[in-house]
Amino acid sequence: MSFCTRLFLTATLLFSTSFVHASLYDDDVLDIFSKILPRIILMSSQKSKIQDDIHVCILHDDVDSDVVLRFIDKIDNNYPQGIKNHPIDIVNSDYTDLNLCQDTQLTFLFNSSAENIDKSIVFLNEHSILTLAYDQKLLRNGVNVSLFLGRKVVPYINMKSFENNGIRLDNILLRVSKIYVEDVH
Amino acid sequence: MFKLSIELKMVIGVVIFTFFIVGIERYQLSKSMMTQFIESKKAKNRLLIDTITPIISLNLSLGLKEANHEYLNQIAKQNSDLSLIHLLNSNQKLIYAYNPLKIDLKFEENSFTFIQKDIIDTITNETLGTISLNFLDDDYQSMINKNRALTLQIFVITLFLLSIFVLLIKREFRDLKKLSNNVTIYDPKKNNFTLERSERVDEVGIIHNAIISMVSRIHSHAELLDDLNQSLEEKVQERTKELENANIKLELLSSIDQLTQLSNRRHFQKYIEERWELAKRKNVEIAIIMTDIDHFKQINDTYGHVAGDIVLKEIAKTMKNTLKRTTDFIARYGGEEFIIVLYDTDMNQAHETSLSIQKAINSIKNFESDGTLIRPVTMSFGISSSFPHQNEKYENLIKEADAALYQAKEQGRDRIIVAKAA
Repeated sequence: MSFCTRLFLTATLLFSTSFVHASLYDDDVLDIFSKILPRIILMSSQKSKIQDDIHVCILHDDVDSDVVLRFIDKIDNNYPQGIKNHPIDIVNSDYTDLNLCQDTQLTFLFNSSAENIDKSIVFLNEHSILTLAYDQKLLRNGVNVSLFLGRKVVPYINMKSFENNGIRLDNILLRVSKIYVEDVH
Repeated sequence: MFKLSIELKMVIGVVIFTFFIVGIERYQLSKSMMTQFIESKKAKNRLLIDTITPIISLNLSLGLKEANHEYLNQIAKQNSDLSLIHLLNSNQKLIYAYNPLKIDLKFEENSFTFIQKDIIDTITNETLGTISLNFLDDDYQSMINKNRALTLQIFVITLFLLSIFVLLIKREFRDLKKLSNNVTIYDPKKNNFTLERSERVDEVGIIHNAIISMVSRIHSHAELLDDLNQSLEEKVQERTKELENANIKLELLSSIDQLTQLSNRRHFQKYIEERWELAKRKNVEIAIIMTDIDHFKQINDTYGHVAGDIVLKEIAKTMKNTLKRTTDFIARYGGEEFIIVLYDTDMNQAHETSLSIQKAINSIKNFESDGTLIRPVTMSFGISSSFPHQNEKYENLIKEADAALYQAKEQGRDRIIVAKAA
């Protein structure tokens, strides 16, 4: 392989990587998630677990670290004083260290391998932690809530998944949300 | 002050009362319907805004703009009477507008079709914005029109029923009117009451027949009264005539001396006053003769007073017969003293008259009283005469005649003395 060919492939790889990153997490969608995140806790049975702070865990792969930081900034910007006198405590964790999310009320899942996702969901369900995922496909894996990105953006709720962790949502939230129907095929 | 008949008063009263009651009833019913409708409309509008506000609140708080827009579009579509939706954010910036009829919100803000509500974040209690809704009032207008049409129908029916009532009242009052007219022009003397007895058995019939009976009684009483009046008038006329005769008699009695049947002194007084004034006006001479029976006391003393009276009566009769003219006046002046007034007579004529009387008296040979013959008597005369002028009094003329008579007595009686001119 000639140097030129190697250079071209490297450049292509770098370009495609940056393009993939850019297209994988949309800022506007993250904005919506940053707004929804603490509110969905307060609109669920998770609010009973709140003592002083609202604890949120963000699970991600290393590759998404920058995006996660941007996402945390967004949350801070939207809720600089917290919400309803509850400061928001955000735990930034790698999928390999799930225990950090053990005492949180909600965990947000960035994209990762199916194995990490499944493992995380099992862990989080065991600890009755509400799960949100950026990717709506993760609803299929048992994530509680995501966003439906269609003609309009609305919360996308997997009702069945709530049977696994015993968490309940306020009805009003269901009014504005789309209900995820599992594809039997 | 207008004089209204009972019929008119009743009709006006009933018409006013009916329209008042119907009007009040319609007004209250309409007002109640309108109020209920508006309240129901407001409640419905409030229900809608209360229903959608939490969703909008949630959408706004979650930043779901498109979802919010779609939701509001759906609300507008589902509620066909919605004419306006305005959604303002917390900075009062319009973030959603639905206004297909281009309604000016300023004109609708005070209307019952308008409703507005702040959108509160249920979690943070922050005001996220304001939503304004306005609804069409087509159904309200439709209800008003229906109510108006119904009111008109009720009005027409009321008018129709009132017309029937007025006709019935007029019919009921027809007999009373006839009765009233007949009673008004009724004259018992003409007996012009033409109505017959009524067959009606109600109050009008009773009054009608009672009045006819009364009129009949009035007529018979009027005839009786006429007869009584006639009789009374005749009696009054008779009594009046009797009274007149009695007055004449009384007048005569008051002016005639009962014994001699000559005028008395009072009558003389009246007569001389009249003649004296007349003589003044006509410049006519008037003469007076005073005469007295000589030694009359002796007759009374000799023959008694009854005989004296007979003498007096005879003398008076003789003197009266001697006087020829209708204007010649003689009166008994005192006991046996007489006075004669001769109008339009001078002293010579008066002297002639005195001579005639003296002659007539002297011709009486004797007088008779209960078979007793009384000796004849003589009389003395005093004459005076005058043309009365303005300041002269008739009393002076009498005094002159009296003085002449005194002279005649002094000079031996049975003579005539003419008074000297003053």
